[in-house]
Amino acid sequence: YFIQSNLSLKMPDAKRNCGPEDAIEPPVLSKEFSSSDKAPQKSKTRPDGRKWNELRPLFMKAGIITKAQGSVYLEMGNTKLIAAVYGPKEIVKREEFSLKGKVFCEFKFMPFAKIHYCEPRQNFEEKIISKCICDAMEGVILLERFPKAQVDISVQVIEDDGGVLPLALTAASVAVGNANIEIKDLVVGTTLRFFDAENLLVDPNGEEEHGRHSRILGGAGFHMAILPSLSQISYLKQTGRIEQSQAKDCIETSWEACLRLATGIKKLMKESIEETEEIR
Amino acid sequence: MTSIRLSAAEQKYIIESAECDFRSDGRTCEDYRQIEIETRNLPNTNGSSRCKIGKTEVLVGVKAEVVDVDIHAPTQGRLNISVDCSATASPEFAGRGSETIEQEILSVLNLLYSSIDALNLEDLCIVKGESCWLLNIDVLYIQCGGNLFDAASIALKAALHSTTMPNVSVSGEGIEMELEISDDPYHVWKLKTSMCPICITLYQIGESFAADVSEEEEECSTGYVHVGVLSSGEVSAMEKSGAGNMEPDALLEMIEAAVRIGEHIHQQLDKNLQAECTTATL
Repeated sequence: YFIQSNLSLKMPDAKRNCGPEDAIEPPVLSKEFSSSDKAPQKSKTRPDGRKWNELRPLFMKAGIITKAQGSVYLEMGNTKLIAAVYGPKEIVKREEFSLKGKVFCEFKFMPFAKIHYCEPRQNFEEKIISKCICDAMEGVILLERFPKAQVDISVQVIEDDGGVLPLALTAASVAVGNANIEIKDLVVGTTLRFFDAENLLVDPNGEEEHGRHSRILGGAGFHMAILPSLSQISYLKQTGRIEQSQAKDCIETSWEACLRLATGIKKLMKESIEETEEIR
Repeated sequence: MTSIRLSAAEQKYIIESAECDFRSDGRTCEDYRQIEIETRNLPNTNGSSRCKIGKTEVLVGVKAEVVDVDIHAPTQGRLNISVDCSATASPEFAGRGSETIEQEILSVLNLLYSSIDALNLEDLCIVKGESCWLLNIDVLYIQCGGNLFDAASIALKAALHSTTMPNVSVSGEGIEMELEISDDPYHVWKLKTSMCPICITLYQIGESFAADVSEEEEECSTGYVHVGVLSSGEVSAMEKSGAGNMEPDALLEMIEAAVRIGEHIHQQLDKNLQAECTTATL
């Protein structure tokens, strides 16, 4: 919010008819409606009726993009994303000989995904998230199986209602699995909103993660993605101050939520494989 | 970073010696190379510093300007951090080669300074809802020798500590409001940097981890963690990156080590910056 980055200054888009430079979007001026200004507590139900450690309902459909080798559409509450995998295919840039395959990833918010308009060109934040997904996938894909080849992963967010980054990692790994590319394990991630040991929220929605209520109360946001069968951490990000001992609580709570999500995802993947078998 | 070609034997040597807590230059896994800091070395800035850790040398300059407030945060000033790895630092940084590493360093610095209490942004507001100070922070790498993130964060804290902000007097109201910025070099105020974090980057090498790694050690690592540590010992931000998975116990150990190292560096840094301040005023 408060940091303006050189690389994310608005570039004039020559392909579109843009509004005047000092135009303001209506949502900026509207007063944000917030149900309460008190910190959430474990005992209370959240505004959307969930308990503190309840995940939002998950919907998953694999293989929706028939042209891609692997794809998935994932919905968690109102957060919707789509991931597609093309590959392994011959490497486009033949600069270096490499005994391991390469992974390229592109992450993008659709212009209508958030309340405010997202530029069609990939901005700084999206490039960083692309790199995170790339690193996480490089850690699970058996790259030695396809030397001199590359895998292109594309993740697009259709609607952002909180918990996007770990969900993008999850979608990318499910899509790679759907493409029949050999992986060590699925990558499954969840978000946690941490206030103190007694006040945590697992899988916050958009309002809980970025809303005015969360900005006033401070606390920390915790994104984590794990490899459920190998019991290792694939990705971790924490923003906001916490004590060193609280880091352990965050990791444990997130871990348990990720395992629950992983069971759901494995079950859905198994069903989708059975469906494709039936069609054949 | 610069691509170092290591033979399998060299890699094995580095990994096994890290596991024995004895690195190729004689340091233990938690030791830093000698850190040199110099502040107020750039004359046309409000604050500046130079930090040298081993072969890595970074310059940070802070220039302040008066701008309109951001509509999302009308009572706060702003920071604009930019990172530049020049071609002098390494030949592969010529042209667009440095883009990825610059973005990564920028993302880590933004992560560290994105919380409202890292640097009290309310202090940077001049007139609520109208004008504020924008701090243009430029990080320039003169030489890269491993551990770029930590060097940048230490230099950044030193530069902000040395920053002197001119006093502004407001006269008139509404459209006729005028801001007069004093150019008296002694009529200045300083930023409060007690809550500025330092990034400690720990790389996972083999079964163990190391801080302040050289480029050769970086080649042999599988994954790394950036931990933002405050002088009070709290963790202000954390990010695990790199292709490689970590055991949760290993990660907790790394966080613990990072806090230990971070507190020590903060102590030494604050002591030296204070000493520099007092000699300057004398």
